[in-house]
Amino acid sequence: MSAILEATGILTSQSRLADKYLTFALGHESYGIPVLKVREIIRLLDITPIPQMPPYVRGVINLRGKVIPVIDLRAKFDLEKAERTEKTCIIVVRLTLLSGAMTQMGLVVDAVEEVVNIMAGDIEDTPSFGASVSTENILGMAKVKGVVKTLLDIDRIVSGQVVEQLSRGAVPASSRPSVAAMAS
Amino acid sequence: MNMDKLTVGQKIMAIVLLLAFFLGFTVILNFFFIGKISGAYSRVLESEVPKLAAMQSLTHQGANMERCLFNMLTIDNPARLNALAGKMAGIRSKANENLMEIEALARSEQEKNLFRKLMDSRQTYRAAYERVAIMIREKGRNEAMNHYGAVLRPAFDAYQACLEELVAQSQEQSKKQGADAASAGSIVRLMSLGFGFIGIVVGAGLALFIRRSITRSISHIAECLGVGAEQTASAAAQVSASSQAVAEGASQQAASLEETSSSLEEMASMVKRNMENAGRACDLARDTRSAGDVGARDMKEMGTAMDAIKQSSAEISKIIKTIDEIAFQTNILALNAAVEAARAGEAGMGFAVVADEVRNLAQRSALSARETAGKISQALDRSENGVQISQKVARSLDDIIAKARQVDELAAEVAAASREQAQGIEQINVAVSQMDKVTQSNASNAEETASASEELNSQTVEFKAMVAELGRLVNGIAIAGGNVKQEVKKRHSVVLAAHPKGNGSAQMKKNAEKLMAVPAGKNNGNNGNGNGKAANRVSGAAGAPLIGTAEKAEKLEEAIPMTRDFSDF
Repeated sequence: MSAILEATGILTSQSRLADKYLTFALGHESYGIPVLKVREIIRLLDITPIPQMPPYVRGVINLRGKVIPVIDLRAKFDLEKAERTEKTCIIVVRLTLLSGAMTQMGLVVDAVEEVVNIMAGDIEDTPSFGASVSTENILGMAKVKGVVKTLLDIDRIVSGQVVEQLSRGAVPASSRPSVAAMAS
Repeated sequence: MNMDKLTVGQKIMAIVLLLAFFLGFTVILNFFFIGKISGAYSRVLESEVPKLAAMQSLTHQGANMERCLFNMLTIDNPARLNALAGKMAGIRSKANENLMEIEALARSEQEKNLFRKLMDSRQTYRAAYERVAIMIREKGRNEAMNHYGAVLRPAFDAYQACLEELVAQSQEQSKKQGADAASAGSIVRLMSLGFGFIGIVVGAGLALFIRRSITRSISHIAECLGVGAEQTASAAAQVSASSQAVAEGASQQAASLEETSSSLEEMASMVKRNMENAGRACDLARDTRSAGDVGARDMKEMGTAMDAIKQSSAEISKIIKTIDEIAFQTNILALNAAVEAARAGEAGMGFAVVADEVRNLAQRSALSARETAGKISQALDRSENGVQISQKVARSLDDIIAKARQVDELAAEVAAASREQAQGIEQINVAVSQMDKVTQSNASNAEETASASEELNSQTVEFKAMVAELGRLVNGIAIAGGNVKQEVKKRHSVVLAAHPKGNGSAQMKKNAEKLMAVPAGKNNGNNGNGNGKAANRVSGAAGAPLIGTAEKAEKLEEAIPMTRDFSDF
């Protein structure tokens, strides 16, 4: 990942972080993820549940023939469960796992907001308190149109054994070399 | 004795009867004794006198006979003798007549015995002289003479003696009758005198007693009449006053009745107006009801129209939802396009701008759709509200219709009641006119009563005078007459003076009552005084009365027990 950042030429943390972000709403808060991590946005499809999974894993969906796991960010962030609405969407992101493998994963969010270009000056460091998310998963805080949006490090949030297993179990073996190739 | 209880007629009758009893008794006595006297007289006249006469004649015939016999004895001539014989026969027949007469008149046993004795002696005498006559013819005169002296003479004497005895008896009887008559006459005289005197004395005493009792009663009555006249006078004055008051009341009543009549007319017109108004109200209520019916129908139509609006609104909101959906999908597509453009880097810059525009459009259309949806839902809410309101209005209209029906009925009832009221007022009008008549007749009657009471008052004055006259007639003094008369006159004039100018105010009436009440109270309170005065007056005027002055006063007081009789007034 650091290799990617260096490759884009962003040196300072702020200037490194200045990019286009896709913002979405989760509860009353607004979050942002780098747009380059986003594969596509789809409406909420029928999710097939998978047994013996942590509560934040909702299950899997069939996205144009590909089975990808779906994670409920509300559950992940220990927010209370929300009803599914018309605005509830799944953001399909492409992740780099700890093992270095690339995988696609769906994130269930309350609503997708917009794609914004956030300048370096609008980004501040993560404060050391007050958030429901552990600070290591946060890239920084961005001020967009007077509203503070939390920029999430999506790779770190969606990680760990479960995801590994999921991506391994879910992603067909044939696709693994291509992910590895992209990562490289 | 309860003489007081008898009427005057009875008392007088008692006197008359008593006197008649005495008179009758005397008459009966007289009748009896005079009858007795006249009987004795007639007995003497009819029986004793003819008897005596017959006896006289008989004596005379005896003497004749004796003379004839003597002649026969002395005369020889046969012719003379025959004549003498005839004469003697005549004498004998006459004596026989006399004897028969005496026999017929003889009544007492003693007389009859004497008569029988006479007849026997006569028989003896007759036989003797016939013997003598025969002796003269056959034996000669001397022998006859001897026989005459021996037999005939004693026989004749006996006969004569018997006759004398009878005469004496008859005389005795006559004398006795005379004595009886004389004694009866003296008894009659004495008794007539005695009974007459007793009758006069008793009659006079009773007359005195009755006169006293009658006088007493009449005095009492006269006194009472005097007091009654006084009372009547005061009552007449009261009646006059009250009749005046009644007349004034009647006139007031007449005025009130006139007012009542006019009020009734007003009322009648008001009731008529009420009736008309009620009829109009009835019509209006009917109109209201029909209008309410139309309103209710319109409201139903409006409800269906609202339902239609609701339906079309629901359809519109479905369409809006679809538009919103499309906008949302467009937004997502634009976002994906933006992501793709970002991934394309420099080459995707223009595409990113387009995607942004598309996304803006999508958002605007979503916003518009949302706004439209809000509007639609607002319209729906409003139409729902309208439906509810229209339902309320329908209910209100139903209420209004029901109320209008009630109003209709009530108005009809009011109209009927007004009609009945009008009839009632008509009846009241009739009654009032009758009352008016009655009041007028009352007024005239009251006036008549007033004049009658005045008349009564004057009559009372005359009555007083009469009572005084009566008192004078009875006792020779006037009983409380003049005084009362003056008093009554005075009072009456006061009452009359108080009234004519008065307007029938309560004050006037009160005054009149007070005037009337005060003298009555005086009378009540001064009973004792009045008594004393009466007594004084009586004692002062004593002179004419039959009885003594003091006694009279006492009697009067006794006779006029004022305290007893007046305590009731």
